[in-house]
Amino acid sequence: MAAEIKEGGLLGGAIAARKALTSALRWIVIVLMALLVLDVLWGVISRYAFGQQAKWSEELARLLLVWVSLFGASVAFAMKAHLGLDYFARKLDPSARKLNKAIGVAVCLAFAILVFLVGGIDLTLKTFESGQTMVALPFAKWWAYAALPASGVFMVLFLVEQLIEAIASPVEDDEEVAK
Amino acid sequence: MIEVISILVIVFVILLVMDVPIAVAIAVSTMLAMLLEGYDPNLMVASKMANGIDSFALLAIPFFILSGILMGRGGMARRLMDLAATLMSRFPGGLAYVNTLTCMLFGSISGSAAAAVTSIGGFMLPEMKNKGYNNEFSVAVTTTAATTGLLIPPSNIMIVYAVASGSVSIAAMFMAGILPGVLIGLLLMAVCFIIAKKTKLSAGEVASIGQIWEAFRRAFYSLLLLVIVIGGILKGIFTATEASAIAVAYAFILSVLVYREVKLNQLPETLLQAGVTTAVIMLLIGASSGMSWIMTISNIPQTVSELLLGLSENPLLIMLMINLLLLFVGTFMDMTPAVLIFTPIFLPIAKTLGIDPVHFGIILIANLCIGLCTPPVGTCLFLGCGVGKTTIARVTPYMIPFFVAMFVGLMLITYVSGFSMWLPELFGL
Repeated sequence: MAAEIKEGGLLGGAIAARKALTSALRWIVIVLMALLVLDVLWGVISRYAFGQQAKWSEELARLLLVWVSLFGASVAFAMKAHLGLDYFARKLDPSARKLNKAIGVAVCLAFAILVFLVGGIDLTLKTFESGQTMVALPFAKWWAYAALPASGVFMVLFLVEQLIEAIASPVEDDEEVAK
Repeated sequence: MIEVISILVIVFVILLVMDVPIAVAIAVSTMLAMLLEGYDPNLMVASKMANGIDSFALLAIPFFILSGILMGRGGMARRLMDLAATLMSRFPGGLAYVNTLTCMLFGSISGSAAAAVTSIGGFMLPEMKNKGYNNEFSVAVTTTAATTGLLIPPSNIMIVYAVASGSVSIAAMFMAGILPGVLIGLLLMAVCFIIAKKTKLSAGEVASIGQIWEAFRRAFYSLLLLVIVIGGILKGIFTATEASAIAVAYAFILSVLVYREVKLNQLPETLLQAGVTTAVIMLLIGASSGMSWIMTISNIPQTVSELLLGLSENPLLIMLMINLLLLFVGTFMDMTPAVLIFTPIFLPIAKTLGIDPVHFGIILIANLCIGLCTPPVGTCLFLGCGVGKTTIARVTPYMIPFFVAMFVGLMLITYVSGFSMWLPELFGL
């Protein structure tokens, strides 16, 4: 499908930028996942080896899970991997499908801006002001929430790029075959 | 309150039909409902989302996903199939039983029906075609059998249910799923038996005891994983989350170091796939925790409960209505969002009727398993048709006897609580 899109200035630049961003974000998710596995395994081993589980390991695992999930959510938008119901949308005629797609991406973009950026920054700042700390880790609690705006920046960029793609790309006639 | 329900339902359904990601559809409809009730929707959804994910129990999900991917690529599916083949291909229509049994074993170990369809279907469908089995029949067998792995532990959807219900132990859910999963597997095999007789399917070779032993020896370490995970949780040696991390270490050692079918340089891509799959589920869980909060605030579960109980006082009838409604929902909605949305609504009713939350969870999952195989939207059906290179229209007639078997299984599971509750009670869970 990418071949059909004209590699023109704005669109071509957006695609190149997305590739670089996606690659960076992918590695963030890979490293976080690897840390998550090692951390929980260490928790199990330490419980058996020393009779007592390191208190920080569970707290770190939950922090990592939040980070993996929120950053992974952005990768999933870039990869179009989020679960949806394409049954009805595929039945639309090509021009209506294009409009539907553009509106759908715009809704996702509004969600990303309002929840991940606006809500996320609000939540991070409020927690920062409260001075709340984690129990066993030497971090402030707001670190967990900072993943929302941090991932939100990526998410918004991907979705803006997809919105441009949805509006600028020609009407597709044979998407069903590609599916 | 009626406004809140209307907003939630209308906005959600419109966005769903438009193919907006389900997690976004849940979040946006929740935000509008919160706005109506006078809350700050941005801050509220952001905080419900982050805090909904922040749970030690949910940690098992990325690990079971990761170990499932490692096992699928690491040659365990093949070894389990060889074992099933030496045991069952001797019967008429034997490959259909082999397929079902392998799906049960692998679906259980990998915790994913989708992985079972693609891994097992990839081996079994060409094999069955070679031996003269009807391709659409084979696809129907694979698709339906793969869902039994969601009932047989370990199973991610049970963790999702346990977290959504708020009070159920994962260990109890795991134990409760075993017999219902085996029951549905046996019912599917019964359908295979009838069809094998009717269409006079041929029997395969009879394996010698030596061959069976050899196949068992080769599959031993794959089966041992099940024993370690289930046994460890049951004996209280480790929690479900710890067991899932051990499963990852075990699958890593087996597939990368022993079988050497997964190369070290494939690991980053494997971690990424597991991370993204996790994120998709977690975003749904996070968004749903916002939705279930606003529903609770506006007394929606209570109202639905009063409404249903007003229609009838008969628990048998109400459970039938809930089942029919869920079957309808399952035809177009995937399992995880359906469990997340309907657990807070229907669980209080089930409790009022005196149904144990563990038992209700098994009913819910067994029910939605059918939805994974039904058109218009069924993940397993889509994957099965893809692997079998056929169309939904051609497979559907062959699915019907299997649907009947699954429905019979669902009714037995719903009305005979022993299937679900006997094992957890036996182990005092």
